[in-house]
Amino acid sequence: MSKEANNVLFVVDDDSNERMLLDRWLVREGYEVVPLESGEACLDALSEEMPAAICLDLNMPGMGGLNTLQHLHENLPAVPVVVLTADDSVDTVVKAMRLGAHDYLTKPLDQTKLLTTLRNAVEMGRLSFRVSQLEREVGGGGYPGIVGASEPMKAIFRQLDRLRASEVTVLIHGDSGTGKELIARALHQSGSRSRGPFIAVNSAAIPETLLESELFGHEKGSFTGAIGRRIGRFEEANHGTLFLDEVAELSLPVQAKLLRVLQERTFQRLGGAAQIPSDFRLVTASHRNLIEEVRQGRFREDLYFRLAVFELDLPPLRKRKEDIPALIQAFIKQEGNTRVEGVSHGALQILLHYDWPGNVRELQNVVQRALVVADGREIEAKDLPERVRIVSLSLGGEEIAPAAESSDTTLEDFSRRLLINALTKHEGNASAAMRELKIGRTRFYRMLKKFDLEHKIDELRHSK
Amino acid sequence: MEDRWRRISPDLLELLPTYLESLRKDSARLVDELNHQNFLKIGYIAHNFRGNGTNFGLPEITQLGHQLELQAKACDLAGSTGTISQIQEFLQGLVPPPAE
Repeated sequence: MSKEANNVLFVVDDDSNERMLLDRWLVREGYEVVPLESGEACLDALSEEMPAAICLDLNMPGMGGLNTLQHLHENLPAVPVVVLTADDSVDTVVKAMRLGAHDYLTKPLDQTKLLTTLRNAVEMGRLSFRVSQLEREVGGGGYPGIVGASEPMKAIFRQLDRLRASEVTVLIHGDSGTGKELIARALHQSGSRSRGPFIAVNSAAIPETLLESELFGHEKGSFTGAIGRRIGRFEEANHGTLFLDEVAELSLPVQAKLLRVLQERTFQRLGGAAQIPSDFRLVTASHRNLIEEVRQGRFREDLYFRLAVFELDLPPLRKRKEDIPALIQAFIKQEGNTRVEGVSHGALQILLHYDWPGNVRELQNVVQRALVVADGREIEAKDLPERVRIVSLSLGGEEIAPAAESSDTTLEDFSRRLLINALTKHEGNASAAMRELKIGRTRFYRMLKKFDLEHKIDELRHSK
Repeated sequence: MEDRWRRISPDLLELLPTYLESLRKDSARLVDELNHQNFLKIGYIAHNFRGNGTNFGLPEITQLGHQLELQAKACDLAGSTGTISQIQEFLQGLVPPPAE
């Protein structure tokens, strides 16, 4: 079995002997078995792990097999369920198949039949998953508002495809402006809680003194200024998704309280006594390295493990520059600007070479601004902000136009001119020219070679 | 070694002591549930007996389990009492495979 493939199987049976038997057969076949003694335990386990398939006994106390099967079919249709039971009545078989069972095996089990059925179920699950992935790729991603056909974004879409059928808590890593909230929304909208609320909280934007009340809510009179009851975000997110952005900014005491809510699935409003049940899917995000925060004692390790069941790393825009043209078109369309159709070649070259420290949000701001100032049918280099065009140089008080003045001037022409200007201004002093242009040594000398200006430094030095 | 043990795979032979121990505990539980006439719980235990007796070389447990399950469903006190006695006698007379 491939190490890369998901080979986790849930074995759900109240009979410990049956779990022991299946564990022995399945582990020898190369599967990783998660034994569970009830339907309730199965649903709980799904918040921690996504199996390739589930073996489900029907005759169990409590929630029972058929109710569990129904829940699985409604919320996780992508995961194949093989029903195992000693009850082979036609009525039961029909019920199970109607509730979405992939297959049905009668106990006492035949080892060969079981292994063949499971192999087929796991393969079918993988194929269905792959079909949805391909459909998404052909359809351009399939997650509204998220644009990208680059390899890093395809990897993100593949992960989202896997996550949409799951309730696991997700921790999204990414620099500011990479779209963490968009991804959280995509998870919500494509999952089983899409009909429920999506509640976003930016932990960094709320003063610490108010954050607890924001999350937990409060009762009237619970503190000075609490003139009425307030419903908190945990309660607002019931049956939906709670997105906690900048989770690393939570204070340690609030982290402890959040952990308790996640463990016990209940909470109390500030000043309240009642335990209120909370049923939300938690998605968190941070631009900080949480492992480092744990090491520094600023973030609880036990909370980190609870949050990071699945981690998504959003690429910075500079690592997916091939998506820039599509993003620009999407922003132009979003602004509803019917006058401007696109971006000139020269402007695009500049945009592709810029590093985008502010990521997609910065690109969006730049496009929005450019749409306002552009006077033609295309955004041109002159419509871009200076910091993007490269800082203009002053030579004797005169400003040398830093941008291409027409869409015919390429970035190459422009870069060559800048390099010559900088070298001339500093009389061949390479270090000073590099500082002026704000570029590193390797790039500087690469540009000199590219524009055949290696001789220029000596020329200028000797002409002093 | 009895034939019944030769028919099961070495894999499952390893698990047999655990299985037999659990059968004995469950059969004691059956008596307890019978005393309380808790047919629902009797039915669950019987269903489990039915489900894997044969896999561990004990088709008699599968058959008695099925019989008891039907009796429990029908709340048949006399029938259930008889079958539970049969299960206990069978287990008492069972010769486990020699330990290696």
